[in-house]
Amino acid sequence: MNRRDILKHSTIFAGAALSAGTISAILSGCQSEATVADIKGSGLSQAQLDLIADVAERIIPKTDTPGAKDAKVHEFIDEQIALNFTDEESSMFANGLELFDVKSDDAYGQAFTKLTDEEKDNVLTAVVDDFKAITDDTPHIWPAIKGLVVTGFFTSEVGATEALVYDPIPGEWIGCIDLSEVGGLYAL
Amino acid sequence: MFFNSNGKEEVTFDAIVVGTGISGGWAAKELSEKGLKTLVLERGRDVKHGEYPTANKDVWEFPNNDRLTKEELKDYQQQNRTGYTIRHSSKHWWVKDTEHPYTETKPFDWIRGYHVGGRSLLWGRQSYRLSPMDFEANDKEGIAVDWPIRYKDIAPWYDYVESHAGISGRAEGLAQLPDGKFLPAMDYTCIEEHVSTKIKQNFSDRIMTIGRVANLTVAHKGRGACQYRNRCMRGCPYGAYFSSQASTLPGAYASGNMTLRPNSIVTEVIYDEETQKAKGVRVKDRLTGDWSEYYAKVVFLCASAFGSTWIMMNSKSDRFPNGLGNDSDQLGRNVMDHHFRIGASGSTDMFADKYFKGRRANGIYIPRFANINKKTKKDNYLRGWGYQGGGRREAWWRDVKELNFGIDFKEELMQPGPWSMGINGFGECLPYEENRITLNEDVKDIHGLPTLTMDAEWKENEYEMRKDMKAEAAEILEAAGLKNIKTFDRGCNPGLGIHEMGTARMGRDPKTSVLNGNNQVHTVKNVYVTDGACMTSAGCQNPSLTYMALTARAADHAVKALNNNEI
Repeated sequence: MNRRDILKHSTIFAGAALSAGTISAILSGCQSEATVADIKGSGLSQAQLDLIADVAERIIPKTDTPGAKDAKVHEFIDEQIALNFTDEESSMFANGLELFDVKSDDAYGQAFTKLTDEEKDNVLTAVVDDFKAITDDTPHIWPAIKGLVVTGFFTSEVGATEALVYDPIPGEWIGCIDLSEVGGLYAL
Repeated sequence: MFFNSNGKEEVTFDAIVVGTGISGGWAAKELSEKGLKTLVLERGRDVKHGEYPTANKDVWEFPNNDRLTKEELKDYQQQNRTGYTIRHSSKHWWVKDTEHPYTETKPFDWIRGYHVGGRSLLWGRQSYRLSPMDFEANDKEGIAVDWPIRYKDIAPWYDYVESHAGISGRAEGLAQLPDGKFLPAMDYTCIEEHVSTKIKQNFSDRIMTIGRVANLTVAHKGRGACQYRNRCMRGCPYGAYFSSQASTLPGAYASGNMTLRPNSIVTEVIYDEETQKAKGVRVKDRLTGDWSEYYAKVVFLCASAFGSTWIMMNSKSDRFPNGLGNDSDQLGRNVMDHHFRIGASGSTDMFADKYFKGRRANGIYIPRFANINKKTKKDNYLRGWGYQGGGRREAWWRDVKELNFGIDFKEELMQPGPWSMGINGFGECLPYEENRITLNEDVKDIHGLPTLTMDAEWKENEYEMRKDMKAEAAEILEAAGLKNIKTFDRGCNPGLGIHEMGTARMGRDPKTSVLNGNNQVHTVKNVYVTDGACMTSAGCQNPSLTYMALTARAADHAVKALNNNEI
């Protein structure tokens, strides 16, 4: 899987939801002309949202800065699916989620949300391996959910203001300074 | 047919200005400051300086991550073609295509907003002078018609408008891109500095400079300096970039001579057969649908290139059955824009410990270097292009290899990525008579008014130029030692540059042009057209600064002509 393939998979599957900021420019040329979905909620169950929240937290865990759960990334994903996914994409996403429980059951005989953090990471690795084994355009849950989690986290208030360097009114422009003076990636 | 509730003197002014964008704002300022009682008519709603509802909002404060749903986008199918205009943070500045349709014989993107300030609130702010070469090119090459003016005619007016508007930039002494009256330049990022140095070392025919931009690097004329938020398109609370609201309308208000009437759609210039002059304009109120007429000694059409052309096409009389001043049949022809979205990008591992402060609302510029002289003469196309671009560090949406999830992944994304730089050519398009817009009486807008049909395309000269625009971009970045160099050609419909122009061109001969060298309609001398419609050729430079200069120059001419009873 190279970057291009990952984008392609994400595009077909998670469609519009991935595109925030610069990503939209990258993807705009190749988005599928999907029919307009009726706006009627994501259709995800509470159990599915709990699963998404747990997966998201392992992708972007809480450290000395907030994690995906603090940023309510699962609610962001719920909204994105409700507003931007076609019915077909929504059901593909929901079906794709089952892979986490399938891999969890294979390895530990129980549901993903019941696992320890270490066990969850092992399951995520198994899901990643499953994705890497694909050689054609078959949509896969991994790039879809990962793209949504990253976008949801870094565009949330918590993620942008606490995990990144938030400087809403810089007041000056200096073209070249030491990174150590800033300390991290700007939020905006 | 029409009713004015007020007496005749209340609808009679010295001057009428149609439109409040970059050109209209300048006309309003100049005419009213020179003592003319000036009525300024704007088809859209009023927007006072500071009424920028989204200026201080962050992405999480908008629904749906500041994106519209497919359902919501149905109203903006053409306006959304830019990919950056229709967001919750900015959609209130653009028309709904469902309310203001146009017809595309060939694909054309007409991106516009109807409100006081027009696109002066929304523009990219890049501000470059045309050069002596640009004004002479048509004549030397036998293309279309000759400009009726030369660089020396407009140079003092460039000085004048730059001094007021506030353009930051750096003097470079180039014949093909004359220097202006600049505020202090913004500086380069590390990668831009590096690329600039390498261009100097490797090429004798080209340089890089910082973008010349209508953003204030220091406080200027009562307006605040840029705070480097890079949210210009939402409207600037500091008035730190040139807009009608921040820069020209305040002077017009202060003169006490301006009456600004929003929601006033000018549908026609009223031609008086007896005096052979315009006597005023006919207006449809956007909100009530009522018709009225306003009268003046002089009319300035500044309604945007196609807006002004539409008004002239719709102004039919016995004398001008094909539209006001259209004896030449040139009205609506010679549609031009800039072709772009082609170039290259690359990255570097250098400067990993460097970053920048602020969000510079500006980029770099590589001025035109093709067809400048014998040495740079190209066999397969005329004219040239400039590159706009910039170099910065990549952000969280970059790909991070081998780090699929977890703490390391998160911490990697919390740091800036590699430096990358892209350059994007903006090429000159030649004027072609068959590239035209026409009045469409069959398709009506939400007000029941006729609309426009667009029939324009790029031709061989543009496509030949694009080959070099792509190849030279890669060559420049390679010479600079960047890695992962990728060329791109995303293509663009005419119009996407949002520099549409040329549809009522200036010229020396009334038989082949609509306007004379003072921006007067050849055959209706008290009507001036000073927006993009007047352009005889396009240059490759962003055109707004030229509209400002031509408008100020035309206003000066009009006032003198009125005083001398010449119009």
